[in-house]
Amino acid sequence: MIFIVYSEISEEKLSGSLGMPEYSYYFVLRGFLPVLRELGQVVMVNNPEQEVDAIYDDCQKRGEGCVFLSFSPPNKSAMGLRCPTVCVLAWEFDRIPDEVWDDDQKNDWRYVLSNHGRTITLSQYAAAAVKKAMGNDYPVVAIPVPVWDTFAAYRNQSTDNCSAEKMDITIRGNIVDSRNYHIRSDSFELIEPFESFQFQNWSGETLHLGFSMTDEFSACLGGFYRSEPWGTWSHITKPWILLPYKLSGTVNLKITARGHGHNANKEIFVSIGNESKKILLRDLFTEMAVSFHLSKPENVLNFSGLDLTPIPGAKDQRFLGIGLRYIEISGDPCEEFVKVTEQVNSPVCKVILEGVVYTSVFSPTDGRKNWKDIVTAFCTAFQDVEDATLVLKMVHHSLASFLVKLNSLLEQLWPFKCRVVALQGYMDSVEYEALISATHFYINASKAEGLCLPLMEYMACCKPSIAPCHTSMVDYVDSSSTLIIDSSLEPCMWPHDPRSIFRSMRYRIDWESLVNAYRRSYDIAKNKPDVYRKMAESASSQMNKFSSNIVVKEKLQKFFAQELGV
Amino acid sequence: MVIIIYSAETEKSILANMGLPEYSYFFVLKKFRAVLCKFATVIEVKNPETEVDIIYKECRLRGAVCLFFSFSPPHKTVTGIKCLTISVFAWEYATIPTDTWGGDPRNDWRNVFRKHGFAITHSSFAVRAVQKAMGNDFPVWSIPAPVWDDYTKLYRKEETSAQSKGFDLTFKGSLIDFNGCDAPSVPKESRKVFVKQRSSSKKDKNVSLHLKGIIYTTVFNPNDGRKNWQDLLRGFIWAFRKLEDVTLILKVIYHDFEEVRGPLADEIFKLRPFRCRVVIVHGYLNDDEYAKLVRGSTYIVNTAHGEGQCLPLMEYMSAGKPAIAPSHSAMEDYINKGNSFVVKSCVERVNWPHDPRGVLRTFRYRINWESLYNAYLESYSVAKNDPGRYSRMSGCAVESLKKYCSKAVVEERLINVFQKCGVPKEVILSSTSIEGRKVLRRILLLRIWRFRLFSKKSSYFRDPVKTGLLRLLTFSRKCYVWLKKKSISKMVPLIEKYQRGRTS
Repeated sequence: MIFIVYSEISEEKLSGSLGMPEYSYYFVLRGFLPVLRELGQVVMVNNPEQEVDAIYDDCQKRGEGCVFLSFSPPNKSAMGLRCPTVCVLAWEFDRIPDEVWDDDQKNDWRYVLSNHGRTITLSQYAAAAVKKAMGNDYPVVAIPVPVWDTFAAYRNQSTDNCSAEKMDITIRGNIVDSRNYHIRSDSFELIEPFESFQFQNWSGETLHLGFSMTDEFSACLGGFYRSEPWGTWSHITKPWILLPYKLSGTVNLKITARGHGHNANKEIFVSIGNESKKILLRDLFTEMAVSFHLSKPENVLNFSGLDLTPIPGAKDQRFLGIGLRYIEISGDPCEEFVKVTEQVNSPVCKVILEGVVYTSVFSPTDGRKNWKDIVTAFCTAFQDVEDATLVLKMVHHSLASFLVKLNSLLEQLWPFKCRVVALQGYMDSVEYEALISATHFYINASKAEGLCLPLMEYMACCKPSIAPCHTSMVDYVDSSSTLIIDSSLEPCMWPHDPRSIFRSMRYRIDWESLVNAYRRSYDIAKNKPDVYRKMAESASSQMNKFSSNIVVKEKLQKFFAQELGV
Repeated sequence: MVIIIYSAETEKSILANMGLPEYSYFFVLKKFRAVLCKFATVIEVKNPETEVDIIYKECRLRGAVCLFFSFSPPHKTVTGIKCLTISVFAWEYATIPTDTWGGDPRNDWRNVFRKHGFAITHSSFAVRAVQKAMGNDFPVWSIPAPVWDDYTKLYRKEETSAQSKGFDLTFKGSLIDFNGCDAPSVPKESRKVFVKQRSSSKKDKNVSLHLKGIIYTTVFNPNDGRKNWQDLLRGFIWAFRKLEDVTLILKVIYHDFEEVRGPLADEIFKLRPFRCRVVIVHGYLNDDEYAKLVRGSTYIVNTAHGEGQCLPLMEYMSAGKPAIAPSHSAMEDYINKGNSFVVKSCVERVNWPHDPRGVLRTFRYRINWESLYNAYLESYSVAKNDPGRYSRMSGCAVESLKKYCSKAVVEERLINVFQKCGVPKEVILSSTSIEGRKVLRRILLLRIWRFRLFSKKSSYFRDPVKTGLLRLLTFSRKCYVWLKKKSISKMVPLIEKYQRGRTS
């Protein structure tokens, strides 16, 4: 039996695509591979339209069975192939797209699915949505990604379910730690910004940093309000910008900015490292040029000397200082530091985790993950608890994809004693398992899930969780392993539908119950080892029943037998 | 007794500032004034910092008790004056501001309350929030705006009907009438035309509207994020997508319709196609027309994240209209299963609305949309099939609101406040002759006007006019009467004319 498999994002493209739409289909594909290999031979293709039928014809000649598994949404799946085609579909809403838009018939999934004649979904919830659109007799089966066996080694090693007291976690990338900030009601500073972030040395190319809503990922800001269509206002007296590279040598800045209120026609300071320059802000946007000569690399641009005295009777009551639109960086870096770039690429960073640790793994740009609730509820529940830590493993290639939002959350939630740590970068399986091992509870507060692989992985490693019991999670989450967060329906749009029309349902999280679950879980971790152990056991046995290779293999076999007579 | 009252808006400014922050304080002040007049001579001031103590001194001279009720949030209420000051404020968050920012100590409300010694708000929820910060013995009262007595007149038990047979509404303003929207795809470019076809033709002309069937009404300011009107709309259209006999009236309170119609229409478009009717109404409904709308409505809807008291909800319920609303913040005082289809909610962390730092120091309520949707469905079924339950809910609404915001309740609590403020019992209950009050009122108003004329800051009058007017005010009773009838600014040309007549 030949399984031709395809996902739009391949291993090679993965690191640059982390966090982009459909990146997770690759992980789904990768998860299925071991079982598929047990069932037959797997052939990966990059271009289904051209490759699949050739392989199929070959198999036909040999009299060998062949099926094409397209790990992609139906609108992006190949159609009309001679080879039997099955979409493996991750879907988290109650209704599948059943309308045509942009004159593309494939946007109506029914068109594709009826052409294929059958489909596999990752959850019962998605299977029900398919049946609702295609009719009850349409062949659809829910088969989860096999996760259980992947962590067999981990389970054999760790004898005790409870996490170690102290754990070193390493990652090739960046670690953002709330304890590395100095936050007060009127200031927001990074302690040792240079050591904290693993940026590359600047090689002299001209950098363009925009600060409007549409320039989201160019730089990380500290002490600024949310971006507006034109740019962004600062709201503390010493706001800063974390630059995307370590600058050195001659650095020429062209800053397009303006001042508000008392800051219009006022001289303020721009500084990098120990060097400080004056600029004169106008009340209209003007471009100001300053040059720096940096003897050692620096990665933060600071502003100071802003006057935030409120203007009586002003219509906008915010504390507005400098309005930043655009910065251009050019110049000539120090030779010695440019070379360093080539030598050290992403050094290893380390963080020590202790106390009660909560972990969540997600793409920060995916709104469904609802990580604002995860953080706000955590800092509310543990405002006065020093030994509670929230670890956010950010699945995204860019630090800027979450740092602005995280900075502003930390600033707004202050004061709190608990700790928030964000990890961004690459972890190998040993490092990842160390993080699992350090964790007490996995936390999920999503509005909808197509499957949620990380949650399954943690459960397979005997970690209880805090999660809502909706969409795909209904298949494997229950109160024996999980502190269930309440949730209720709300309308939403199909994520890829450009028409902005409400067509489907997702879930709204009950924030209060999330806070309560955090508090309860802390009490369990600290004071009720028996309860914790039972939850941990239940989590792993649940995963064993749900996502072991044997279970998944049987389901696949049964489906292929019914559908393709294999 | 003399009670000085103040709100930032006045009868003249309110129209232009409708929907801007704190506009609703003016309406609360108006409702309170009538009741306060029962106990005291009521004087309205424009500039509390300077004017209140002038009246206070005059009262002291005459041996009259004098209190100042400032209808404004505590951080905008004057402190450090001689007259006993009480901030009458609306609050809908779980905690009161207890931080200082922008160099103004009043932003920490505790500083204001400590100086005043007393406070009045409109709900037990807000009383709890104040006492959490100030201690349980801090004298703060929940006194809602006395709304019930006027609106309950619209309630007639025997005429209670869940379905309107039809009525016409005529008013000066604009409307957009989405009588169903079956176009599954209206491209963005042609949307303007689509909306225009459904809009009243001319701006601010008399428009009329025929309504019938089951009518859900809501009155809100679309620019106030707390109102959460998106959920309200989504719930309604989702529930009644395929029904034609049900209407949602969005009575929009905002000074500039152009600014808010776009977002409202866009949101409605996101919910197409639907067959139910959604009408956006903007404009001034006179008392008769407003009464018609109240009487013709089946239900009043609220999906806010928090309410200080919610005047429209109180008005409609006093008139016997059951609600679809959550029972949180101030609404917990009067929304219950007997009179409403209660929408579930839970807390979430947010910032104090006026805090420019945006730090998350307090809590508001997150609406459970699913329960809102179910409340729409259930309420529709009751309106259609269960007249008995509808009429019981209607009666219960009237009774609940009577307990919450009738004049009798408000008067009783005010007496409490006066006693605590040290006003002697005989003063509270003394019925000074109407003539006597008139004289006192005249004297006090004269004092203020004199001050306004003398004050260097005052820009009302040019100097020669000032002296002339002052002479008149002081010596001519006739002029006082004259001034009372007309506004001061209109007086200027008259005085000038008078002066010219005299000199020539």
